[in-house]
Amino acid sequence: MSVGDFGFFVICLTAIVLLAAQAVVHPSEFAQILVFGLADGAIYALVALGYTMVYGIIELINFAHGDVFTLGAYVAAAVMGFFAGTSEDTFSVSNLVALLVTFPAAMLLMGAVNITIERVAYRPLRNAPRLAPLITAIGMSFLLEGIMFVWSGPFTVHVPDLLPHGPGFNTTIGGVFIEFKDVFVVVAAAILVSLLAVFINRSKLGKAMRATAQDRDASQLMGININRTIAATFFIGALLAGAGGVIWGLYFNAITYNLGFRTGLVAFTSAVFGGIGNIPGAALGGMVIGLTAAFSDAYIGSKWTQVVIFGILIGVLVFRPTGLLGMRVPEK
Amino acid sequence: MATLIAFACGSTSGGGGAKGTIKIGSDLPTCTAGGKSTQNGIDFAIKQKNAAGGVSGFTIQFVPFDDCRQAAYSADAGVENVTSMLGDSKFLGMIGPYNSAVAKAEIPRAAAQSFTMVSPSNTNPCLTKDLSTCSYHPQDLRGGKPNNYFRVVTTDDYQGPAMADYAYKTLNLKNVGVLDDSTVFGAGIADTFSSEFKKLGGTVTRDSYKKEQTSDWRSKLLTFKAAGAQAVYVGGTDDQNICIPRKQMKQIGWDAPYMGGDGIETPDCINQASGNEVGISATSAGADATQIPGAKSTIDAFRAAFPQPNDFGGYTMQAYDATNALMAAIGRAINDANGSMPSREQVRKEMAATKGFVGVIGTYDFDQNGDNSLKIVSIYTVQAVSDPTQSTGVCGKTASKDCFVWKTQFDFAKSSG
Amino acid sequence: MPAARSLWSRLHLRERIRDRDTAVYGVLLIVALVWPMATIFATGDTFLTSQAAHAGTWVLLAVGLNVVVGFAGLLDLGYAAFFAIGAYSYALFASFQLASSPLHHAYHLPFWLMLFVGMFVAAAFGAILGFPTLRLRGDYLAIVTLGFGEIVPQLFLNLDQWTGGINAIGSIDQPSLPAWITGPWAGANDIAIVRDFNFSFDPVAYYVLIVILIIGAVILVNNLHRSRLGRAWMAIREDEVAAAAMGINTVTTKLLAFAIGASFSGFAGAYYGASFGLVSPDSFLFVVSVTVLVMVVLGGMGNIAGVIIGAIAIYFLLNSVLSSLPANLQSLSNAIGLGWLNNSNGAWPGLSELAQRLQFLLYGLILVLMMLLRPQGIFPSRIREQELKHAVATEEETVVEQAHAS
Repeated sequence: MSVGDFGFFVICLTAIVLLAAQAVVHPSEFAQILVFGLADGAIYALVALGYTMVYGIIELINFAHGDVFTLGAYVAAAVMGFFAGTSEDTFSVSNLVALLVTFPAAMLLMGAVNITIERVAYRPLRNAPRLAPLITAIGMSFLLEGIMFVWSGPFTVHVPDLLPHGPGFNTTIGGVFIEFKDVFVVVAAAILVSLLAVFINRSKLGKAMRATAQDRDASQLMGININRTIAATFFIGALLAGAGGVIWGLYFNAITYNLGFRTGLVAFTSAVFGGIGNIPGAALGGMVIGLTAAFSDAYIGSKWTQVVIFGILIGVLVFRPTGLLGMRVPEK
Repeated sequence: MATLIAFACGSTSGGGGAKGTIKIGSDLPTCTAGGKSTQNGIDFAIKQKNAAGGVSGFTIQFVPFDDCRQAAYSADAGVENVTSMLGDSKFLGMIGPYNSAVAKAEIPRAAAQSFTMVSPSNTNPCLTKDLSTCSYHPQDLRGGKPNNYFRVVTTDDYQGPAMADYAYKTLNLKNVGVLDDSTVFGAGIADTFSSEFKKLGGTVTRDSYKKEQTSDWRSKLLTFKAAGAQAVYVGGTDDQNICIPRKQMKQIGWDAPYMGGDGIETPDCINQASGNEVGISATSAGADATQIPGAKSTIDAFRAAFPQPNDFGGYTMQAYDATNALMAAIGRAINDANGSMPSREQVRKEMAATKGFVGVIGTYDFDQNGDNSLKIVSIYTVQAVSDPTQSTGVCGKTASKDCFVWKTQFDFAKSSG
Repeated sequence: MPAARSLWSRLHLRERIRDRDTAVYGVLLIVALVWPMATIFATGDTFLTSQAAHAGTWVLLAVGLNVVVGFAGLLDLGYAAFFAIGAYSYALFASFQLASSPLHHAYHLPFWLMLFVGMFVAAAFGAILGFPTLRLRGDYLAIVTLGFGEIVPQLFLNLDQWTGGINAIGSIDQPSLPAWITGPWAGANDIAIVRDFNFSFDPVAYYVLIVILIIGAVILVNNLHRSRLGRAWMAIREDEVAAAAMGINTVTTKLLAFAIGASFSGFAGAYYGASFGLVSPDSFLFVVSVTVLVMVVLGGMGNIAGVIIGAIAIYFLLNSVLSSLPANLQSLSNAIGLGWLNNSNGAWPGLSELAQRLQFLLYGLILVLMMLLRPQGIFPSRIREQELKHAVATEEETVVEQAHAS
């Protein structure tokens, strides 16, 4: 065991012991926070996957990704507005129909948006100085935020509360208050991540993605269409981000145009935390960051959460630069 | 660049009076609903004045400045705006700023040139009062110059305690969780609430968040609840998402009062709390216009001129009063200058000498700090009403029947003498 | 006139003028010298001078970040943290702030000392942060600096006992000098010597100060660039493994770039604290780091003259063009008889309101377009320009080869 691994191990152990102490003293409160953290972490995981996939394949921190996520939530709010007969008070069939239409609509639209961004802003710069695409990514982030800002101003946008909620859709297990929504978020995220994992590991396109991430030139020689593979990566990342946006909207019901900035930063941190380029790592990283934020809010104070998250980030990079599960980006 | 500046100073209520033009600037974050509706109050007052012949033969020109950068107020932008007003000798005063943090950066610049600032909305007490809780002295901010900064609103050291009193005595709450949004205003008002509530014998749990960093307050609310809190007090404004925790209280199954300062007496707060807006209580610095005879006609006239629902806000009438008080001082300064263009120092002196100025919200005298004599704090609570026009008119967008309703008022001038 | 001609050729003036960068420096210097006089004469006030002084802070920041990003090729996404450290070191020790801290004693150290203290403190933090992370490769440094940039302003906010938290540190001491010269260039009538001069927000004085600081910084950075260290940076930027093989101590060299870059930020921070008179944790957020990075990349990484132009251009864009757009559009539409566009009507928010909302979008659009049109920046360094052309050429060759192969 190297010094770095030992330091990492000590930090993790300390955190676990401290949390366990809380769990023993206030078990129900601890479990409740665990539920919140898991739900938030599930959404971070969905966004983190997009960062990790894009970084894995073209080594670009896609700053616009967080805003694609937010745009997904905005689109969801707009699409849900078209459905008459939906109700925020009782769950009806029209709510279900609205949800079944909103998810694919927002996901596919975001996929299209992200492919366009890649085509317009990143592909022409693939051979430019390395920082040029980073600046266009920042520019695209401002551009997307600008679109949402023009759309509805600086105000909070309300996303209809269409999921079943209220009496009958929540339960208290051992002092822990669980809503249907909490379960929905975690299950939906788990399904999406599993589908992605199967796709990456089993499908031909998934194999092409992995090959391109490993060695772009070699895979090109093997007859892989690089442009198409990269576009597909952006598309799939945006599908997940779009779904994440819809889920976020349904879960919190309030979104603002600049939500993606901070969510993106946290999701990117999750991706690094799990080992950038590593798909299960990003999902795990999202969960860990979600839990960390929830526990830090509760036990340390909200005003320290930012310091805790980024402190962990720096600590991980210093002691274990490959992240939790190891990175899958070859040194070039 | 010069042409750009010339454009920026372009006329919005043009024309030239018999003697010329005097400019009044404003410095507000017009990217927010609050800033915009406040600017409307100034605009309305100046249009009314010009229609009635201006001030002693001078036409008043209103030049609004915006201190938003990237969709949020910015002290840097505010300082730039004040600098450009100071550069033009036609400017004799300004209304603003809206945010206390901006005022802190602007006062030193304006004080150096005796430029009169009248804020319709800054409630942070440290700007004018030498309190032990402040990290600086107001005279340092003014660089030893005489006071140039006035405000028509009651400071947080009345708003916070008023709500603390109301919570402890009327609502009979003994333990409150206090959350602020890490802004000068939010942290300040939360501090004054906490210290008064503790003084009364209550218990307080404190924390703060930042808008850019937090979207899930449930863990925090849960620890408040676990600490025995019977209610939540928030210091902050709706543009910092201060009312989203209210919605999340329902998500953790916590039914308790939700209280705050004037930053939450807004339609956007009701929107943010969607589904859980009933039971929000807010203080407002100043008396409720509906409680003052004579205010209604002005508000009706304003509504006719600015018909959109977002045009009227919590500080529109304060801005209207501030503008009229400033124009009255300019009028007296013109007399001091024997009918010609007065100096900035003359305007400042006359503003400081304001006695018994009758505005819509009350009658104003300014003390040597620049604070007014009105020490009234009103308390409002969100309720379902049948006719929104009979309430304050501050209602939700979707929940259009859930509005802030006037509850009571505290008059600190009477209680402290 | 053979004598004059020989002097002409001896100075290599023609060659120097032909060199684009020297020409840019010359133009910048002339504009900098006449700026206060010209603008005060043209507009009758010092507003444009004070704006230029403010823009100078950004120029200083961009020149410093250029050392890290442009010369050594290290991506720093938390540059604002060092700016904050510099500003707070000055503000804490030159105001009444520490009187209300647990120390109960206010310090009023002179600005001229603190300018260098701020610089060294920032450099020290740069070294502390860089030491464990610079041995990592790839973008990890970028991510670590990003985290650092998020933590530092939050710490200044949370440690409110010391820093006043969100209430910021106000009434910061103004620099003073035993003597100062004033004259028509500063709007005064006669040339005069002022004794015991205090800056007290005098725009011209601050302008002169920042111009001197920038000139000093540019000379320093230029010499560094041409030194052995500068060549080592370039070697690392191009190929770290090869550089290490050539005997360059890569960790020390990178650490030096990082610390020197940070020191400029600390330097700029102390100046900012004095000139703005208020230091608040809100002034050092991620967007500041991003803005400086945009200035460097857009101006032309690695080329100091280009970076200065980039900083001025972005400052002008953000603080003048975009911020006055709503008012300009409003008066324009009034002037051409389309005043009704300004009134909000249903879904139409009114022209100036719309322009205000468009600011974000336009900024993003400009960034993307600029980068697509000139990925190497406005004035790229000559060497990088050559590399880029070469890289594109090889890329095309490869494509052609592949086309043949398939």
